[in-house]
Parts: sequence; C-alpha cells; structure tokens
Amino acid sequence: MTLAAAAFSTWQEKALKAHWIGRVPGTRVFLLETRGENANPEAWK
Amino acid sequence: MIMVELADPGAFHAKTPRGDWFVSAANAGRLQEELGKSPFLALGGKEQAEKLGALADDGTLLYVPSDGSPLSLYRTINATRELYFRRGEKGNWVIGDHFRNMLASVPVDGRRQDENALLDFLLFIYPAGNSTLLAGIRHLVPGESRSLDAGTGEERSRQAETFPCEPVEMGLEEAVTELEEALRQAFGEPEGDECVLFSGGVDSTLALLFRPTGTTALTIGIDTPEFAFEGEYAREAARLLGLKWSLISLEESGYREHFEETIVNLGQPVHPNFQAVFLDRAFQESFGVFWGADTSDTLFGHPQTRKILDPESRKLYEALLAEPFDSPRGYGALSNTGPDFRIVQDLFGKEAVSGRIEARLSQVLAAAKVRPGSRVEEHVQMDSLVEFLTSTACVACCKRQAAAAFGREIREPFCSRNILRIASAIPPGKRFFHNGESKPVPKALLRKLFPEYPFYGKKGGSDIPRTRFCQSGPFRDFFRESAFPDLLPPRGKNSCWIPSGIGAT
Repeated sequence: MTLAAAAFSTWQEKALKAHWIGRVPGTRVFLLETRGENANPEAWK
Repeated sequence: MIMVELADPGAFHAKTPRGDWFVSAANAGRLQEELGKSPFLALGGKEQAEKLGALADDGTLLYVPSDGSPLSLYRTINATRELYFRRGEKGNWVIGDHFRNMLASVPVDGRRQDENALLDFLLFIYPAGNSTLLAGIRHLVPGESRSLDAGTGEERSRQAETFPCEPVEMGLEEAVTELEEALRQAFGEPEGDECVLFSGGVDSTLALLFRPTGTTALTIGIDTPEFAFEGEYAREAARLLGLKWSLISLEESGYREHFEETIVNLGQPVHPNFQAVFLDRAFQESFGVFWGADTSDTLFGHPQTRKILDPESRKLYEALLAEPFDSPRGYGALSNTGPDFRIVQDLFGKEAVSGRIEARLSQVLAAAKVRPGSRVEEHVQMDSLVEFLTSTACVACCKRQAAAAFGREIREPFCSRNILRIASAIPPGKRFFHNGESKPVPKALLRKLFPEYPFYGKKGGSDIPRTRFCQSGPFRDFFRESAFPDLLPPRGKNSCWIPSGIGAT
C-alpha cells in the first residue's frame, strides 16, 4: 500500500494544499453571462 | 455566470444563433459541419444536444443556450475526455475538461477532499460515479446526459447511451476482418507532426501498421533492471518493423522527482505504476499528436482473463463465480480492485468498502447490459465492462489531461464506437480467450498483417518493482519525510511503513 499512499500524499501536499497551483498553460477561458446578468470577471471571486 | 475552461487543444468553441457550444471529440470535424447545417439549427436546444451527442465519437459536449434555459452536458459512452462541473458559492458555474484547472478554481482554504477520495483511490484508483477527489466538483460518467439550470441550480441526469450489446454473434474470422477495417478508418485521419506511443506490444504495433511509413515510434523506458526486458521487447519489435524508433530512458535515481512532477501537472494522484510518469515524459517531446492503443486489452481480453476462462485456474474463484453477475459479492463486481483490498477493508471497515463496490457496480449496470450465457461468461463480460467504464476510460482521460498539460493531443482509436460494437458482437466465450491465448482477435489481425512479430517474448506491462522501490529505491523512507494522507485511519500508518527486509504490499 505504500506506493498508493505515497501517490495520494504527494497529491495532497503538492496540489490540493498548494496555493501556487494554477491553470494548465494554454487553457482557453470563456466567461458567459446567463440571462439578465452582466459578464463581469471582477465579480467572479 | 458560467466559466468554461478548455485545456485540451483539440476542443473547440462554436457560436450558433441560439447559444455557445464547447465540443471535444475524435470526429470534431464532422460535428463542426453539423453545427453549421440549417436542419440542425432549426431543432430545439435539447434536441440539438441529443443529436450532436449521438453523432459524436469519443466526445464530450457542453451547450450554453443564450436564452438562459438549462445548460446541456453530454459524454459519449466511449469518451476519453472528461467534463467536470461545480457550482461556486455565489451560484456561478465552472465547467472544464482538466481536473487541475477545476482544483485551481477553488480557493485553497475551500478545498475539501471528498469523503471517499482516499478509499476510492486505494480500492479503484478512480472515484466511483459522479464524484471526484474534491467535494463539490463532479464529472459526467460515460454515457451520461445532464442538464443544469444555471439560475436555480436544478439538475437532471439520465443515461443517454449504454455500452453496445450487439445481438449478432460474430465469428472470430469475421471479427478480425471487421477490426482491420475499423482500425483503418479510426487511424485514417491525416496528421503531420505525430508519433505512436510504442511499447512493442500487440496493440501499439498494430497502431504503427495503420499509420504512414516513417511515423516515429516513441518508447519511454527506465534504467530499472527489472524493467530491462520491456525495453528489449520494444527494440526487437522496432527492428523487425524497420521503424523510426525513438527511445527515451529515465534514470531511476530521478524517478521520485518525475513522479511528483507528474502528479502536480495532472492535479491528481496517479496509479503507482510506471505508465503515468512515462507519459508525462513522453508529452514533453515536440510532437503535436500522440497515437495510443489503450483499451484493446479491456475490450478483447488481457492475460488475466485466463484466470477465470481456463477451467484449472478458475477453481480458485468458484465462490465468486457462483454469484449472479450483478451481485456485489460476485467476481465481476469485485474485479478491478487494488492489490490491497483486504488491508483497505480492515482499515475502513467492510461496510464502507461494500458501499463503494455497490456504488461502482450500480454505475456499470446503468451503463451496460450483459449478454446472457454461462456464469463464467457473464462474469468475464462484467469484468471487462467494469474495467472499461470505471478504469480504462479514466486512464485514457488522465492521459489526455497529461498531454494537454504540455499543449499536446492524443488519439485513442481503439475507443471508437465501431470497435466497441465489434467487441460486443463476439461471443464472450471466444472474445477474451481462445485456444489458450488471450486477446485472440487483435493477435490474429497482427499475425495477418505482420507474421514476423515475436508473439512469445517476455512482455510484462508497466508494473513497478514495488518491494525494492520501497525498501531501497526511490520511495525508501517516504513517510519519514512526507505527510500521511489526511483521510487515512491512524492504524493505516503501519501499513505504509516498509522497514528493510519486509515486503511491500
């Protein structure tokens, strides 16, 4: 079980709990408004 | 508001008079053409989504109508592509094709592991059903169609497609001819900057035979002594085929670093064998398209199939085979679980483990039918279906995401609808194992196309020498310096220690 637990632990520490993990380079991002909304990326967060 | 994130370079966005489409599919060109046709555009939004879904081969679709009506999400039964979705605290939706992007879209203090994340990983590697590693992020299962009302949050889901269960019984000779034709079609797409991921095995050799002469065969290896025979196998097959062969060999001393990089690039933990790490390295090579040959074992019979189709070796599994094929205590339901099943059961409890087995089983039973036959024939079909729907498809999705992390694309022709149909039309008693041989149909095709192929050399896959890696290799003392998984019951820490002289599990 050691290797499986090591894989999970690595994910937990280096991805899940990592502040710095960002989008995959080259990802295309589309912001769509639903009816009655104004698309405002600043309001996203 | 809806945020859509596409990491796969092969995915496309199309705007139609009624809304926005986000499509990823093996036959993307055909779908693009359909999106421009007047009869298609005259259909209602829901009908458009259903029609395009049925036309898609190995695909996912997202349709966002501009009039505010519910979004449609669709995943074909054979998709090697993911569609993740989550609703944020303010009611905004995030939909994407890469788990790392979904993870990154959640502020770090809001990321909570799904309650079954570790249990599913240790049992199956991949989360069962619609769940993912993170609470709040879900994904479509194979064959699912889902509508989401962005305003109210109301959701509806249905199984739009099931795995083919052809009524016609196909003989082996006919299956070989049909497979040849289906592969010729699926591998027929013209590409330029491409390579075939080549292990030297039956399936990647077939892949090369269907691509133009001069296509590079790319093999990733490692200087691990226990793995040396794999490299030799690929070398010999490459020599016999007269290939343009490229071998990249990793050093075991740097393996742990590669392993960590792979997990960070994917944003997901990986199966602890060599494959994920090898792929992460492969996709750093400067090809635009990588052809793969996953799924053939699952559809046509891997060597382990012998365990229950051979009358001698099946005696060990008699109790499991006596159960009905749809029993959670049967061979099929319990197939494709990790090697630590009993340890995991001791740690998490029988009830918790049974709950996850049943969750995975119900996903498979909703998405597939089993052709009636003997108990053994029914269980071997279940084994293949469980593997295809809850493991092989996930492996291929991870592979696609690994490629996308480097701006690359993969093609998986063995996952095409045609090939699923052929596999399901072969009687199960012959499909997986015949005349003492597993995977008889692809092997017969390779014999026909390339009689010199060395069928009986040593070939073992990408398993890792676990005991040595943990006792004295790259993972020695891993848990002296790294945290245990948060969801691991305290008693489980003992199962992760491998003092010198005690075998790894």
